[in-house]
Amino acid sequence: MVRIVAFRLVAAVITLLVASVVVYGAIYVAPGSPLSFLIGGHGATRQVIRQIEAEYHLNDSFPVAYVRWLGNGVHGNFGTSLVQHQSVSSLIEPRLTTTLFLVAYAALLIFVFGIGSGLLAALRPRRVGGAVVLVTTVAMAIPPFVWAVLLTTVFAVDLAWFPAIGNGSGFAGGLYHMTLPAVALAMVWLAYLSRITRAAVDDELGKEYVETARARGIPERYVFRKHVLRNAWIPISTVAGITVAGLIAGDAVIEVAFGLNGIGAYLVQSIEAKDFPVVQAIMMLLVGIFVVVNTLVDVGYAVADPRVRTSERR
Amino acid sequence: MIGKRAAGGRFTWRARSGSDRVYILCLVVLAIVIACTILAPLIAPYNPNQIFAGPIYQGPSVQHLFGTDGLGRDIFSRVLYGGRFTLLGATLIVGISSTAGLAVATASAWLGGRLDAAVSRALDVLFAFPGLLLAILTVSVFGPGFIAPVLALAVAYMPYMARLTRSVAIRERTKPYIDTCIVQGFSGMWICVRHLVPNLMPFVIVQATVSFGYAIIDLASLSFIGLGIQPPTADWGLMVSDGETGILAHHPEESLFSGLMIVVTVVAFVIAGERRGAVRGRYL
Repeated sequence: MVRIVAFRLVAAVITLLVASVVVYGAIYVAPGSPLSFLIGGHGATRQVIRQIEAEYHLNDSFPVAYVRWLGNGVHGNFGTSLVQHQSVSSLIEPRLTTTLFLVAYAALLIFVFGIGSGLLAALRPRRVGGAVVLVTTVAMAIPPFVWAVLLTTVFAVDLAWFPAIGNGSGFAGGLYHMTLPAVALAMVWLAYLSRITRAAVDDELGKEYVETARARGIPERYVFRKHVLRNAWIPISTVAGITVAGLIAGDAVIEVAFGLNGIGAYLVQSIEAKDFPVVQAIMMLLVGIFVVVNTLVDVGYAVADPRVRTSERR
Repeated sequence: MIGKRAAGGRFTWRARSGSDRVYILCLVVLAIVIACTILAPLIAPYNPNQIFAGPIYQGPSVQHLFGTDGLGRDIFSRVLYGGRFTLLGATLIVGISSTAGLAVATASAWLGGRLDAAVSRALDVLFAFPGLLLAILTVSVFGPGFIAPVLALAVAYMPYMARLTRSVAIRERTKPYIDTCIVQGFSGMWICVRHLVPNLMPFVIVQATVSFGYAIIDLASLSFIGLGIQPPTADWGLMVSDGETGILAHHPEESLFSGLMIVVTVVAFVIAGERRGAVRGRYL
């Protein structure tokens, strides 16, 4: 058991290191010299060149420069923006709150409505189940940015129930502004989780021990809660974990679509402004979150399902 | 079941159930979409880049089947041309990633042992990098357009294809007919190419078809956020983004029709792929 956790942690660290090499090494792979790439479209003023040299130490060999960059990053120093001339971390922090709010909101919707509708479909298989399956199939096929456009057209423009763009201030304002983005982001995963839940619960309900329990007269509620749900929970929780990680990829698209001021949108802006220190920092942040969540899911899966532990003896 | 070997060995085309009809419908839809994309220069009523082909923000009409956008360009013509880069890109992505994945998986399954274990670990590491982020990083280095996103996504999809193919390849490898070939003295390379790979092809095709749908979504998403195909080229993802100003002005035609095309194409691919896999019983 400890072996599995340790193994996963090592794998996670290796992945992060590989990712960091890729993210850092990108400037060397880029067309032209690293210096000209970083200068990009900013104009080779004294200040810019001095800043780049101070931070990137391009005269040092790659391994030395890389280790220094990594060391700085681990301490929270991501360098200075080439556009704003401020520390990257100070630029990222406020936007991070927006992104986290959006992702949390979307995750909440996914879990509540995804699992809820899945359970409902499994418990009332005929009409409700059929309808839910149909709706989720269609919903899953519509990519998040098309959802964003659909929701904006219907709810923001035609019905004017929600604003189309912007963050909103404060908690209530944020909730109001982020509802459409959160729904757009959540939809595909919500549908997917709903299907997985329905399939898992349906699967469990058909098993022999459920029939046995019922035949023995154990109340349905008890059977459901104590046995069916517990066993169905395993595939559901795996998908749930992957979902949160996957939200990260969709987040950038939604933020751009709704004009939200989060790190996803900032990433895109920085790419267009050729502000590479910011791009590197945000990329590492996103990949880091992704890897951490995936690792937690893997470990959690091993903890929850004893079968995984025994089968690991490969 | 439809198609070959349905009625006692005879070739029949009759659909025997509702889901068969859906499958055929998907194939028809895909055929239409692909045909329209390829034949766009012949079918399109207007030049897709011609501004002020009609008054701006017109709704659907006889002259402009899907209406016009903010610059007066005919949306129907743009939609016809808009699939080109997307479909071509998805083809390249799926083609490259499945070929590379197949090669890696076959070699890994055949040679087995430590190489196989090492390859598995390497694939696990690669797996952890979300495809879209890799594409975004590549674009940030090499600039937006067509080649960079396509190559990046091909690299990102490869571990997924390799992993799926590898588990199937390992199963195939243990089958008796492979052993008979080994005993007869045929070389590993020959066995792989002549026997193993052809038997893996059905699985690969199923995976490739479903991945095609996701590749389309990823490419369209990249164009949507401005890191893929650049204006003024007509491209579905880009049109959804361009159409946003239209939406706010109560003219959602550009976004909605291009979005619709994306959804329809993706649904057709995914359903066709999954259905083919389920029917043939070769879906893992």
